[in-house]
Amino acid sequence: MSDDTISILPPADSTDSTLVFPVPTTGPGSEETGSAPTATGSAPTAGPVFVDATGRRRRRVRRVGLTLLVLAAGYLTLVVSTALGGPTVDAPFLPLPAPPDGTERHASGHAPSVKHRTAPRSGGKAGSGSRLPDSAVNATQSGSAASSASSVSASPSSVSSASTSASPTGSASAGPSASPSPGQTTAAPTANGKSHASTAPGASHRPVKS
Amino acid sequence: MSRDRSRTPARRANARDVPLRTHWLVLCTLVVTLAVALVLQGYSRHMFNDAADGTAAPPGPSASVPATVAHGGPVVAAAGDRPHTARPKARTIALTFDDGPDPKWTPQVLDVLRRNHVHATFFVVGTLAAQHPELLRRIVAEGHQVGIHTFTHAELATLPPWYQSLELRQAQLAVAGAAGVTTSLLRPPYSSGNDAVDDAAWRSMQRAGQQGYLTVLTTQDSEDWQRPGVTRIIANATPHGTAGQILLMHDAGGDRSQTIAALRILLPELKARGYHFATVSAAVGMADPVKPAATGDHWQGLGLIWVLRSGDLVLTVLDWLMLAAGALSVLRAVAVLVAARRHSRARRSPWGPPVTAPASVIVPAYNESAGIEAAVRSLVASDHPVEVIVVDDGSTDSTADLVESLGLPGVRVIRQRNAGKPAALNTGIAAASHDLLVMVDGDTVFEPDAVRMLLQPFADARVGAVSGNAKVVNRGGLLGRWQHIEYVVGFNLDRRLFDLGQCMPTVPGAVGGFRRKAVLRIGGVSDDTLAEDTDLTMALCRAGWRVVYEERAKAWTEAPASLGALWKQRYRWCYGTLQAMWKHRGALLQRGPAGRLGRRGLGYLLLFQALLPLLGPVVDVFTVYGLIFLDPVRIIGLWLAFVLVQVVMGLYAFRLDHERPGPLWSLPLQQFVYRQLMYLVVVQSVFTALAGTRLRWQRMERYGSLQVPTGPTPPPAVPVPAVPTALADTRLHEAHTAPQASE
Repeated sequence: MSDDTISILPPADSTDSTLVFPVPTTGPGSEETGSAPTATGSAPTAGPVFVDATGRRRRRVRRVGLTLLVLAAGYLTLVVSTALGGPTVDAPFLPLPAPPDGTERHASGHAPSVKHRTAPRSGGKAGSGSRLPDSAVNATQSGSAASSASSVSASPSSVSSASTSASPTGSASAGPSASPSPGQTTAAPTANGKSHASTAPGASHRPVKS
Repeated sequence: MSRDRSRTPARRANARDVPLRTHWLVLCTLVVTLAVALVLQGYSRHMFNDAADGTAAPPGPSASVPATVAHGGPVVAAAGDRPHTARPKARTIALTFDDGPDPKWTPQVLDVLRRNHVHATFFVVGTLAAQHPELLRRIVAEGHQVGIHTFTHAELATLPPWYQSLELRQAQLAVAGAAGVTTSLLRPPYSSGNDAVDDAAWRSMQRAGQQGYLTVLTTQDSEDWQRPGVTRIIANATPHGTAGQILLMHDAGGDRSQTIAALRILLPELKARGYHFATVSAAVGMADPVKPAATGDHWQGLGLIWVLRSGDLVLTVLDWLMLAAGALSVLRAVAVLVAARRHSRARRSPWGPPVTAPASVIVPAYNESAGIEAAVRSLVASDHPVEVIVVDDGSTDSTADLVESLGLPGVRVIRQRNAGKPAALNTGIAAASHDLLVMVDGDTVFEPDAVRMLLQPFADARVGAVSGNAKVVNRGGLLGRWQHIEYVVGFNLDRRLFDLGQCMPTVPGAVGGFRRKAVLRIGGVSDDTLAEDTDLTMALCRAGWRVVYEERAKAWTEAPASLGALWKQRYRWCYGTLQAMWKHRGALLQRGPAGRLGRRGLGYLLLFQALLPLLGPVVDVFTVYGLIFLDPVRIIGLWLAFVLVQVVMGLYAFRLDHERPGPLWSLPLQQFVYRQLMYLVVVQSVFTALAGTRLRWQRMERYGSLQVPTGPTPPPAVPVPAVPTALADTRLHEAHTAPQASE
């Protein structure tokens, strides 16, 4: 039994690894928790587990926390900005129904991105010199040539007389058909209406591109 | 002098002990961010209606729709006070595809169109465009036109104006981000022809017009979304007469194979008959409404797409986490129930010859004058021979005097200066004269047979420690009931599992029996952690001793009655357990009994006391999300299923413990405040552990599982006159000399 008897108040600063009991000192706990012979010993702890007296870990954790905070704030700002934002759109002029006398008319008041206006033309030749690519360049595969003339008068949009500067309605001369890629800004293929003349009904199957 | 030494750490620690609040701010912000991401997800996913076009609201009155619009062409410019419309040219068909882009069908549609050299117009849904930007880019690259079909396929007419604007803007942003273009063509979902425009729809068209959109309606509906068969679709899509048409088809929203098959036949056929296919603007003869997007808009669009994608990811991760959490909880319930059943059967056989050797009961006390008398009297009244050693840890409310004044036989009082509970226990262990120890708390009341029951397992020489059955005495009130349930179901049911698995991590400090030599061999009670009972038990397990659970050794403890006190108690326990787990982490890789503790015990604790509770806030946020955006019935059903599992566990646990199942009715309510408290405790503990801050309790002058020491305050129940400092000085002086005297 003698090995079980241990003094109650061991010396204050004992660092003996066989010391069994923690010392009731004012500092943080014992130097050594002691390890049983059978267990692979735990490493000597300098104080309570996890406590980092230098404060270094705390600063690091704080930094990480603030970084997370900044990231979250950035995300929230992004969300709010997309919710509140949005590109502005402006519809191009919608061609009016053709008035009988072919005077120029403007469609409802949107400001298109037309770069220049052309004088009104009489029917059949529309096509402003706008740089807007479009059906204007309807030099295209008009399968049925004959229809174009009649279709022209039938559809208000195609009325060349209504050629507002904004809308190249070169379609007057030919059946409308597939337009070239909208992304292209074909520089005024219809600048001088020549193309339209050439794309008289049935004339060409190929889109005129410049 | 000793007094100075006991004062200095207080001053030093105060300066450093500024509590860290960053983590609550970060946690709240993260929860808010998660909530926002989920709201976005809910908005963009749940609101999308696939069944779409035929199931719109019935049209209302259309008195205010101008005649030009009601009888005009399908392309409507609605801004200003003179709306006008335009029709496609004769023999021109503007093919339009709604609801795309879809990764399965849109490419096939594009292929068919390309083969036939036809350009069409695609009205895309913003959320889908954001999910498949590459498809949108292909649409634009192959010469087709793009229009918007709102962001989430919402029925614009039924929405408030701000919501309508949001839908259009977000759709535009999605297109700008995906393909770098903006478009001013809009096709409202659930629209058909001009004659179907009612007042509400007209108003929304006007609003859209003010924002710069042209509304494109339909003149010919192929009805392909209904999948009526290829021939029917072709029949619907073939125009009669020479007027131009805007043809409605779909490239998403279901099985579109019929649409594609119809297209393959329709396009060449109609071309042969003399029809031309064009985009909407070409058919109508206007300028291209699709323009390149400004860089800023493009980037903002990319931002939107990224936000949506990350939300998708978050939701997927959450789904998996929820699944894992649910599976783990069910697994735990099953394991615990099975183990409890086996344990209760195994316990019917006795441990061995009855143990009659006397035991030393160690009662560490710090300011326990309220409950110490009842505790000591109950110990003395045990039917087993005991010597009671009360170790007064420098109390300031004359606890020691109180005990001495009781004059009970077999009770010794040791005074020491304040050094913490581990030190008090060690003092008691050293002073104990018997080989069997029982360690209790200063306010734990024992049943008369508790000590005897607790000591019986020591008949088995391999047993090093025995855990008793701590019960809550103050069960009135909601908090008391919840804790009572937790003690019976949580702690004690778990203990049966641990006992069977030979991996018990905690013998409660309130009622535990130990073999003296086992404790001495591992070095006594350490104060490395705040949960010295857990630490001690784990060390004993690792040393090879068996730790068992004896449910018949009942002791009554008083559970904290206020949320604040409960918080502090659980924080201390949780943090202390984390400390002990980290300290004994080596056991994970060891063999034998230590390995059992390491892998099973520590694993269980890590999973169910640390990781699963950390998912708690996420579960709550996800539940709210589900209630709002998903099927609330299903979510509530899921919750009820979990509560049912817990109730079943509770009923079984109560039956095993011979408790009345009455308090279980409060189990469903436990989900709402108690569970939150528990997981917030874990969050706080983990954070404190990571940050390495020193807690107040880790200074040696405090301990106490039930009382919250904020200073030398008397226990609330009994008013104790403040001890004058002169007397305290005398006590402290005695603490030096008394221990030697008692030995």
